[in-house]
Amino acid sequence: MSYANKRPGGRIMPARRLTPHVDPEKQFEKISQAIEEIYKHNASQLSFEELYRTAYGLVLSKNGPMLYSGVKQVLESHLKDRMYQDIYPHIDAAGGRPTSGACEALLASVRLLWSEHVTAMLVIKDVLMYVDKVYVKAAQLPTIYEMGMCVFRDQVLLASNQLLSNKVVDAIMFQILHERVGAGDVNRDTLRGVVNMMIELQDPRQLRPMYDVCVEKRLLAETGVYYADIARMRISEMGAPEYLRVAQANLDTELERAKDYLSPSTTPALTNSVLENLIEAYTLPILKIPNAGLIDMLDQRDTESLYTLYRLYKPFHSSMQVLRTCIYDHTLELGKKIMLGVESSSENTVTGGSPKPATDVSGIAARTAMALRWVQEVLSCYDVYDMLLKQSFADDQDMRNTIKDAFIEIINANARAPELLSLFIDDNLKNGLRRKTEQEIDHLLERCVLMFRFLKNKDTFEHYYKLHLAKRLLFGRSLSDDSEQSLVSKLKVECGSQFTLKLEGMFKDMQLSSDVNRELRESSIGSDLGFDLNVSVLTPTFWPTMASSGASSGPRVIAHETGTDNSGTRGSGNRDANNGTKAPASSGILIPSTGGISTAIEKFTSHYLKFHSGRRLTWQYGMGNADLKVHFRSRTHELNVSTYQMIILMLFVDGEQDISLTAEQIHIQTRIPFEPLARHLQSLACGKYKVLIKTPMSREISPSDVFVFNSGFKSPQYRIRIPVISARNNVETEQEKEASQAAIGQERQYVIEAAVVRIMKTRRQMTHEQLVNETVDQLSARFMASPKMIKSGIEKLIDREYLQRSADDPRLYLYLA
Amino acid sequence: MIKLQSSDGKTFEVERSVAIQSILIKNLLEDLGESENPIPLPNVNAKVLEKIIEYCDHHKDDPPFLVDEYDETPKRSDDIIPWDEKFITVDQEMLFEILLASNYMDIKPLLDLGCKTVANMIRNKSAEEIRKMFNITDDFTEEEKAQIKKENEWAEVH
Repeated sequence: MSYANKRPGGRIMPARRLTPHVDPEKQFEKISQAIEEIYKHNASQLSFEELYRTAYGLVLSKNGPMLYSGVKQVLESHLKDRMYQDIYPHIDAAGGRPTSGACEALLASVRLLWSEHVTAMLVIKDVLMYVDKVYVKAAQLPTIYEMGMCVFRDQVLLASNQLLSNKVVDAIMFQILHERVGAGDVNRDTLRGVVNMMIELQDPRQLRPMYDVCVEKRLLAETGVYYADIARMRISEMGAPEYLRVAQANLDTELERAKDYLSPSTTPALTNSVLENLIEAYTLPILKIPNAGLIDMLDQRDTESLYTLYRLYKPFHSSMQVLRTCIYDHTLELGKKIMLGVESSSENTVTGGSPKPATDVSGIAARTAMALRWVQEVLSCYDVYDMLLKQSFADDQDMRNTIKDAFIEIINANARAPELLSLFIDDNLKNGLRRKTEQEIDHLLERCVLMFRFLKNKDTFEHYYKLHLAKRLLFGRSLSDDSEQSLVSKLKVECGSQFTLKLEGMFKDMQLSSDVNRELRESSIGSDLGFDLNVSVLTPTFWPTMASSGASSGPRVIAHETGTDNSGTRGSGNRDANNGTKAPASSGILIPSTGGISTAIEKFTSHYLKFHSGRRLTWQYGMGNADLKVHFRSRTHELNVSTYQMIILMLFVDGEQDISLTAEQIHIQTRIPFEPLARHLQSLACGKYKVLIKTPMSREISPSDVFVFNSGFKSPQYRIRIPVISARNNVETEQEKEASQAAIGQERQYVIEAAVVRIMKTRRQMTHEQLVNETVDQLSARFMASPKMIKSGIEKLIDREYLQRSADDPRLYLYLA
Repeated sequence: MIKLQSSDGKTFEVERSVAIQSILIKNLLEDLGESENPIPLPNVNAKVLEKIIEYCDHHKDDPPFLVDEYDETPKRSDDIIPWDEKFITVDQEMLFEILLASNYMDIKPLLDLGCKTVANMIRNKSAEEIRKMFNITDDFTEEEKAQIKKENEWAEVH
């Protein structure tokens, strides 16, 4: 179509009007000159509108291509000239052996030209806006501004085989290194400007900023090398705390630098480069630095350094594993040291050779003290690691598990751990809590429960705990009933109520007994007795067998008494309630009838049976105690003695004569079995308070030894307690331990068999391995069942026809309904 | 206040918000700064400039016209608001002058308005009717015409 117009003064006639025979070359000249002026910051002298109109005209007259390429050429030659003029002089100085100043000069000159160019291009692009709108779009060329950027990149940076680009990157690297080694300050504004230039310019081949391709790559490589060298040097010079601290400082510096004048996209890779070279490559060596490594940090409780360590290691999964392993190993070492330390400080060893006689007081006491120390030190050690977990390891879950595993190892490595823990609790509930605040008590009990949780053989613990608790309750030694109950309820939470059923039963018995005693006191019988009688009535299923008392237990109620007696008799004064025995009573001990003791016992029994007719009372004399007023020559003392001691002493009460008896005679007259008799005689004649005089003066008791009442006994105190060894809870001797193990073993056998039956009932059939594994699994909450025991259990069950072997497959068991 | 000067020397004083609807003027002000001197517009005569200013003044509170270059929804020509419709009811010569001026001054909404109007004029007219309307010479040869007709067959409504 042509726009030729037929009618004069008519319509459409754009082209002629707008381009009235003006030479396009001349038009372009205007623009070309204008560009030069713009670079010289003389833009305001020009007529923006005129230039715009000129470009407009050129585009309309189809001279867009000429205009576009012409502008490009103008830009190219201008930049080239400027480059030779302003930048090249600095290149040589910055090559070879550069100085920071030379690098700075080069970078500054590049930056200056760049910023001028950007400013100029912004104006040029506006002037040539019509070109962008119409011509560029149609011809699908880069916009004027984009074209300007490419010209700068190609003419300035990439010319001569990337000469300037390389020099610029070299200079940047030099400056960064200069800063790193602390040789001096560098001009960060210059660097920032140049880096921003590199970010804005796109690499011609890779469609990524030149920064990524040229700068970042070099930066990461050089960073890696730099820190690898440093690490190599430092690792042999510094201790771990210092090394870590400096590493963290380095990292902080690098990040700060990146933030200030590099691209934010570099930060992750930069962090990685620094840490990989400083930390990950030296994961183990840092920990193992002699005298200044992980172990030393742990031992010195250097929480700050440990926290730095944790933070720096955390990004690397494998490093954290190494760290955890080292901590685990060290913790185990500590556990071993505790064991050795505690063992060597005592004269006797826990696993000593020949069994020591039960009468070796100092030995037993020492071993008990040692046992308590072991528990205490393990708990203290745990406290330390708990603190470290919170303060240095940010309560990291994996770390927590590692430490937990280590402590489980430590605790269960000591075969006596269940017994010792129970003793520890026992000691605290009797004495230790006295000096503690409520918070401390709670914390201590929590820790005890924690240790319990770590025990693999929890049933062993239960065995001992019952034993120790029984003695505490019966002798009234517990400091705080609240604490006792609190601990039991914590154990209940851990293990379920089945576990604590018997313990709670024991508490209940004591409660009921105190009710019965009160009733008795208030009744007519009570006032008749002549002294205070306190009887503890126990249900045998709850209470452990008291082997030392020499009494049997059965499905009957067993009574055990303490009391104060107020009757007066010359020579021994008041005595307490004692147990009178009935016909087939197991102990067969003869209770003296003087002082109304045997009467009291009969009266109590008949009173009790009135209310609980279906039951039987069996008296246990081995666990009681009595308060006796004893008249000595100089003064009267009140003696707190065990029931047996009381029975023995009362033999010496008889009118005027001084009675002398042999041990054998005492044995016959009281019918106390020799073993406990010996202990009680010892306590009366060989201990601190010699109420009896023994001939000969040796510690050992033989049947022919002669005893007389020591009327010349003196002591500053009025009330004296005469202790007997059995009253204390101590570490078991070898014999005792064997007995306990046997009992526990027997119990376990029952439990195993019950579990096997339960499992087979549900599953109907299982292979041997399956059955063993399943059983071990189910019982793991209570104890570690050995496959041998399980096997023998299975055999027994086959004998008793609960199971049978499959005829087809001998490894398969079938349940027999 | 910005001063604009038409090709025939008339000066118009307008508010900034009116003037910068022309991207040309906007960039000019940004790059060179405001001054007392009027901005010369030798391509636009007073009558046309007046009309342009009238449009820009009416639309000076409009939200900025955002161009989505990749928006492929076809353009409509039936969504002209009443005021604009009345505004653009002018003779053909003025219409084309407005088109050229708004193209030159880069006032896209006004350019769109003009183009929509012309599009509406062309729609559903035969080639001969359009020639008559715009006074266009038919200078195709017979062979060229046949060629064009053949090429456009696919677009023909049968």
